[in-house]
Amino acid sequence: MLLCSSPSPLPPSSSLVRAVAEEGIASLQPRCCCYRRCCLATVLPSLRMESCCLGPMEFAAAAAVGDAGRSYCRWSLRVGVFLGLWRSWPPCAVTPQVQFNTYSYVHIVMGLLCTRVFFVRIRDACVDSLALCLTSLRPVLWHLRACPSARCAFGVVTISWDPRPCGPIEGGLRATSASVERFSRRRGKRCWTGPLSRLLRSLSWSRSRRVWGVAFCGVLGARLLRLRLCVLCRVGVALYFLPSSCVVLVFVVEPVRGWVPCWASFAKLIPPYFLPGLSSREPVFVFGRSALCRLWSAALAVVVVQQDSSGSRRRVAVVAMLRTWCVIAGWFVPLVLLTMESLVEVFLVRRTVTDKFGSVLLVVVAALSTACVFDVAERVCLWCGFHRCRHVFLTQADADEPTLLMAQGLPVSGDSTVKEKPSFCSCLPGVALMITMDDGNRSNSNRRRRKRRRGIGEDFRPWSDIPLDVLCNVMRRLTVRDFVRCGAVCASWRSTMLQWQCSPMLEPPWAIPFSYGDSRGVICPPEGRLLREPSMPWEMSDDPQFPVHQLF
Amino acid sequence: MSSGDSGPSSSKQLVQQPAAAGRSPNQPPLLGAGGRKVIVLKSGDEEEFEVDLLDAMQSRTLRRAIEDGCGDGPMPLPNLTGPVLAKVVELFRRHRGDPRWADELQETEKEGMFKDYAPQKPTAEVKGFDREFVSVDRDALFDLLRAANFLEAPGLLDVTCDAAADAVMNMTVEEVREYFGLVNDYTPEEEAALRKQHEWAFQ
Repeated sequence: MLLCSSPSPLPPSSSLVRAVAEEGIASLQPRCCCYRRCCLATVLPSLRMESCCLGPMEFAAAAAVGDAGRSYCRWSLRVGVFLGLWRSWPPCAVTPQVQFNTYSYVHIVMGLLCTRVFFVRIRDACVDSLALCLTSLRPVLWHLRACPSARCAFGVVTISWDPRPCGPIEGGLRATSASVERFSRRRGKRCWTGPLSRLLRSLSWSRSRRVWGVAFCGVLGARLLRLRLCVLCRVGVALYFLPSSCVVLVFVVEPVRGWVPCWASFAKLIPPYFLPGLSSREPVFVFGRSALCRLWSAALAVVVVQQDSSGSRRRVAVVAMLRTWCVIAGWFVPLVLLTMESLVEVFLVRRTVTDKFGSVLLVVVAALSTACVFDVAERVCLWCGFHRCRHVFLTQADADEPTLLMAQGLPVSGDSTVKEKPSFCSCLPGVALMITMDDGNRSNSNRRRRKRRRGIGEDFRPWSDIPLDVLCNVMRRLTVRDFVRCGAVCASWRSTMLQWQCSPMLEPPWAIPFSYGDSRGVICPPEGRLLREPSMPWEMSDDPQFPVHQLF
Repeated sequence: MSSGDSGPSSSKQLVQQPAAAGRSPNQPPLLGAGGRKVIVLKSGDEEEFEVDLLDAMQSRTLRRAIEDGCGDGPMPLPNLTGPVLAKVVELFRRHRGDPRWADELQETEKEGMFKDYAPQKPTAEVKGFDREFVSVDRDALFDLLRAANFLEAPGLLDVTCDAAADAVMNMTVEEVREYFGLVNDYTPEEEAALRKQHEWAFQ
């Protein structure tokens, strides 16, 4: 694991942090499940070995990996966090000239386990190596590495997993945006009418004191950043306009609780008026075949900067200023997050994406594991962070169809899709960031289809005589979950699976095979499930012919 | 997606025209409307379809048959019914230049036959067609799957298997059984053990 380039010994100076680390080790034995133990066992020695480049925060991090549920660690950890924060504030080492992903100091907010947030501070590391480092702390984060469009092997990452991939994400998105919309129409009054008030009632948490406290913090932060904040879904949105540049900042202050049923009701209650172009039938956003739907994540700060290639000095100065601002924003988001109590999983990444027009899309992403995303306007910039679906769409104000800027991580060549060069000035006002996954109505349409077919009824031919290789071919396209279910359908199917050695979709993000010594297994990131628990730490299996069928 | 001069109209004609019967077996393959070679496929219920030779090459089964010199007379495909074969032929036409198989074709090319036949990315139109193609009821989908299996056409197989996988996705075990008309041949103990082993998948 490459953590950094320059060995600069930083012994765990703070006894507090060291104590936290030890407590973590001590507390992990009785409670933690196997993989956490493995994880800590892996991480700690490696951190120590490579502690030349790691500060005390890393030990805290490692401790927290091991320490799953102890609340007494929290405050000390947080102290540690603030210590770390304080020691390196302000981010003076950041200069606009430096490539954004190769800062000499990178600070990453990271909550590995519930209610834990802390900083990892690594000197002389670039984001990518950090992504590698941090994602290796937890196998469920491995999917975050898979990003072929990134220059280096371990790219960035925006979103986390959907635990139950069958809900309506687009409904959720629409609902979120709808509430934002209404909120803005009412000029900040905290009242909702119609379906939304019903919805509020359905959210039992929405009136608790804590929520309002969080909302207050959010509002405070919003004031500071001139954000417009929606209390209900706690989406803060800021739009900054400059003559040639635009900064968009979107973040979710707190994860929405109880959203699993709620988003479904959101989707039902609110008519799909938003983003008509993104109806779930549209193929553009289809995410492979899986019905990964709900966003499980995300506090996002997105900054879009245009860099003028003509390079007039003033514009360069503006861009430089914006970049600095981005850095501060990237700091601010964690700060806000730190004030919240219930952060679940935070992952912060900064990276630049340069498109073919010389503009820089600078993305600062922090992800909360249970939050939900955001949208602002009908003109949408889409940035899908997953490796399967990586499109950047920009919709101009006067155009009907979104313009594809980037597909599969590569800029679309000018002659094929992009008819005319869009200027950022005209398309960025109203830009919003959206991460979408699969169509949310799939489950609904499935249900409808099923009903219809049941109606057809009696005289259907059974599929029991389906050719086995066809069956295998179909199963190869299933997610691990569906695959396991299909194995339970009937014995002949199961024997087919075993006999033909067929395996479900195993490429990330759907599953991550690993092997270590004799122990092998598959990790299904949606739930972090191990199909076989290893007794040892993990390694990614490079074997394309990974014998998953043996695991069932 | 149109490749060369045989546009949609001419190919449609090809599909719908019944083939002229009674050619001598030694005759070279017919020339179609665009001056291309065509072969004749004969379904199980005696319907005949003319297909562009290059389109038919998508199917490995047909390709083998053509390379073995069976492409001169009507090629009998007793497993396929007329409607299924009509759909399949249409899909072949739309998938012309599909990289899934065109690459393969370029490798096996010997006589420069496919040189104007560069692989192209599937356009939105083709994707739309694919979606339409599989929006059929379960039995028809089953027929298509069997046809794809028989013809060994990667594009067809992809489309149909995707559709089948989509159908299965997010179904519970009982729903899958009902959908496919399968009988549960596990003993209750076996099934309980299976469910317990992977409890998370059945929630």
